[in-house]
Amino acid sequence: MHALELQDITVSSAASSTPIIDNFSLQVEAGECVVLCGESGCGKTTITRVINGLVPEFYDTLALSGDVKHFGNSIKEQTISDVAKNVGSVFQNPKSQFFNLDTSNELIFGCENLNLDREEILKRAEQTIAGLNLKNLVNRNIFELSGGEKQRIACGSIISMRPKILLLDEPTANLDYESIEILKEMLLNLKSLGYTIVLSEHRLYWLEDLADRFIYLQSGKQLGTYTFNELYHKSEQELSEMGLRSMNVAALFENLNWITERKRWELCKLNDKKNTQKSLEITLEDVSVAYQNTPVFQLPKLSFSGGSIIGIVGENGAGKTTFINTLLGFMKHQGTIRENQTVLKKKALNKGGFMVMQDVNQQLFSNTLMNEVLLGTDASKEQAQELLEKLGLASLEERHPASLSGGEKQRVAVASALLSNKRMIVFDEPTSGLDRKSLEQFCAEIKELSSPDNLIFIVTHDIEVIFQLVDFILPCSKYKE
Amino acid sequence: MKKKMNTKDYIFAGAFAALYIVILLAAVMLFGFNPIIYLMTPLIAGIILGPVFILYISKVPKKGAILILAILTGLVMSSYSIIPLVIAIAVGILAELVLTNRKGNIKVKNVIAYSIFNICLVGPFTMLLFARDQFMQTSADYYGQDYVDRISALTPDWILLVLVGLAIIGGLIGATLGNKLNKKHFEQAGIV
Amino acid sequence: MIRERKPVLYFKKDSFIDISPITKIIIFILSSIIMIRSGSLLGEWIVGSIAALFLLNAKAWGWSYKFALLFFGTLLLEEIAKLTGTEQTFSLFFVVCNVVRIFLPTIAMYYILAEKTTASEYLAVFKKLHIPDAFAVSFVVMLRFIPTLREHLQNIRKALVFRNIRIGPMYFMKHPIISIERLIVPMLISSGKVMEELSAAAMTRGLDVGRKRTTIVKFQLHPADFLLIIVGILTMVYLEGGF
Repeated sequence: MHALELQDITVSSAASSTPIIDNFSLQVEAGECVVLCGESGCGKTTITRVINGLVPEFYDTLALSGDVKHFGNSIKEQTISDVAKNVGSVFQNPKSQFFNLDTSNELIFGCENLNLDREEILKRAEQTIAGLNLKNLVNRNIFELSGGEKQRIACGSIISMRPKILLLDEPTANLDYESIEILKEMLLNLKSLGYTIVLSEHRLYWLEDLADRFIYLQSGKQLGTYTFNELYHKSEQELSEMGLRSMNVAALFENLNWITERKRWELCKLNDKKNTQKSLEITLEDVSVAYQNTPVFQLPKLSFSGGSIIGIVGENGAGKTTFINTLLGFMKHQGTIRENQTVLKKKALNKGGFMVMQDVNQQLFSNTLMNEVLLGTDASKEQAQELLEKLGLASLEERHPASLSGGEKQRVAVASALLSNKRMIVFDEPTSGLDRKSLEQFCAEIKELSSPDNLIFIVTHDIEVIFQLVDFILPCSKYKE
Repeated sequence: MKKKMNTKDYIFAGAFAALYIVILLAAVMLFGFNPIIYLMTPLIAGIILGPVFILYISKVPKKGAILILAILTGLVMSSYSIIPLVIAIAVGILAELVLTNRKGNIKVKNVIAYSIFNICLVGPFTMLLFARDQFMQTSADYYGQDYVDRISALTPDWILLVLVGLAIIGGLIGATLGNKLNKKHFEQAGIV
Repeated sequence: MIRERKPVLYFKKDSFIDISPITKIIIFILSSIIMIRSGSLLGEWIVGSIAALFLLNAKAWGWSYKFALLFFGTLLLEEIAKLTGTEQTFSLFFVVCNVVRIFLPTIAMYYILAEKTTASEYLAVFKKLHIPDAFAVSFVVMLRFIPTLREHLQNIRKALVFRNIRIGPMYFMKHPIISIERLIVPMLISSGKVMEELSAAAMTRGLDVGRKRTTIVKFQLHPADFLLIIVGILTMVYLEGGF
């Protein structure tokens, strides 16, 4: 008997004639760890939703054929809450999968739903906390946790339910290197306890020793099965063609650590870019910011010259967001920020800056793409068309911005920044959840757009972006007296 | 259409109640400092909240959905007494009745339902009447009954009726705007 | 066997004495009725004291301080003025204070109910009172969602600033419909996505309205609860009877 069996799964939607999942079958043995991989839109997330019953009960516009069996039992007649007893799911976005506002209630939420005794719930919570080493995360407000801590609580919450199969949909999309390592430790531990694990992932490098098999998908079809070593020994060229992200990033991390070692709040050069014409220079002198009377940072002098792409890195709470908000004029600061010779006050900073937010949906306002990019600018329609052409969005002019893909939405935001002659453009975690192709495309576009007249800041913990794109790194760190 | 609400719907109900409240608070904060405009809240906030309500009943077109929204928002608005909750439940039930039969011109029915529902925004203003009574009572101690009678002639009871009228107008405009935005944005964005 | 120090999980907000939400709700209703209907000095002192005790119990220091200053401070000032015979000079001030004071205790109790009571505590009460799970789930989701939405709203306003649009009262008056569209559309679209993810996550963790579920917090009434309810009811009966 297999722990998990998918038989001839086909998922289709009324909106399109090609199925999202095309006749997919899979058997997973108890205690095995299987990874679903492939480009965005290949269907890996949909498969996880078939396994936990969300398709078709929750996503009711999708039609499912074929059968799913958990330990020999078909889930056809089961509701999502029945399936939940066997399958625990962790999702991509740590922000939106919490039902409670504090970690303690979250850890036992699933158990409450199983209608267990109070004593039993407390016993299980205690075991989960000990087993997954969550001791310093209990009784906390979820808004103070980092993405990595949230994912650990999410895992804890399902482990308390004692499922047999763990299902993780891109759990590392919003995590930094260290958080991924901790998550990996935790999953290794769970695997050794006999849990069956199914993951869908873009980032594959961290799955060494954990994953037994990688299922490679393309357009809803299974194209191959690999081991970690088989993928590891593929050349970057081959991986790129398959749309898979780099397998070997350990060297990059070492390199980054070496470059930023003991450097805090100062620029570290990453590549030699010739900067002949200097038309823009932003200088921060004695800038300090305090939040509720605690200093966040104090910078004697920091200067950025036009045409550079600066990567802002640092752990959760290091002050990255505060720094960005200061640059964009949303924070009260001491000291001066100068553009060439002119001192910029908050309003001027607002005017010269732009941020592409993590949730791009929050900055799309219009009903067509054309109106969107022209909003708040003096640019003409011709200029806009030219730019959209350059960004590969020309054919989408009349579409509603919210109906575009994530990468396209990002490009729309960039287009409106460029049309309104913004000099500082900040990207907040632009590549979380992007596949290789989109990542490479993103890097190429940003390089293309970088000019001596602008400065590009990228807040990121994505090591591949840092080394493909960034000229300088600004390592942030918590202020210490 | 007549299906019962399921777990997903109840979660949406809670989330939309939160949206309703956060946007209502934002609207009040935007205008709260000007007393005249403050009295216009049922009109202005009613218009702003129209699209929220319309999107909600398009996403959860089921029996009971409006009532739950009414109870939740009524609870939150009951910051000084339970009268706003009572009013909210009453208008919630009326709005439900308008939409018991969803055949025919649903857009018009939505507009009517929301115009009634929006009267719940008058709830918090009943506070004004209590405040006025208290004002009169203590003023009587200080200035005598004569003064109080003159003041009360200036602040009539029918102020609440004016507010209800404003709420209904706000409801009509807000729901119409909601129908428009549904077509212009939400249908195209694929979220209805 | 090595015993490590066990972590203790808290499912309620920190307070000195554990007071049931049901008591808080009863006091909330009673204090609004007493303050609006009686206007007696004794009633004001009792209701004000109870509200102040609730704030202190919930360790809401800032609120306790401000509440006591505003409520008892103005009461005392009025007494002093009466003693010194200067109350006519400041009459308008005292009238306004009187009006503000009626709503203060209820607002304080409202704060206790909204900020100092967790979802689990409410769920226990709902279960005891046989309030349907359907309502309980919606209620808890609402509490959960409000902080997230505030964050969304802030982000959207920030995003508008980048487009040189600042929606304030003046801008709104000039372009009402545009303002609404610019704020509401991104708000609904971005929240819609989060809503969907939240409900998918909750359902895959077994949440199913109509299915029996445990509530981790037990519904319990302590002597303190009974004492408070009795004091509240007696005060009301005494004051209403005195009319």
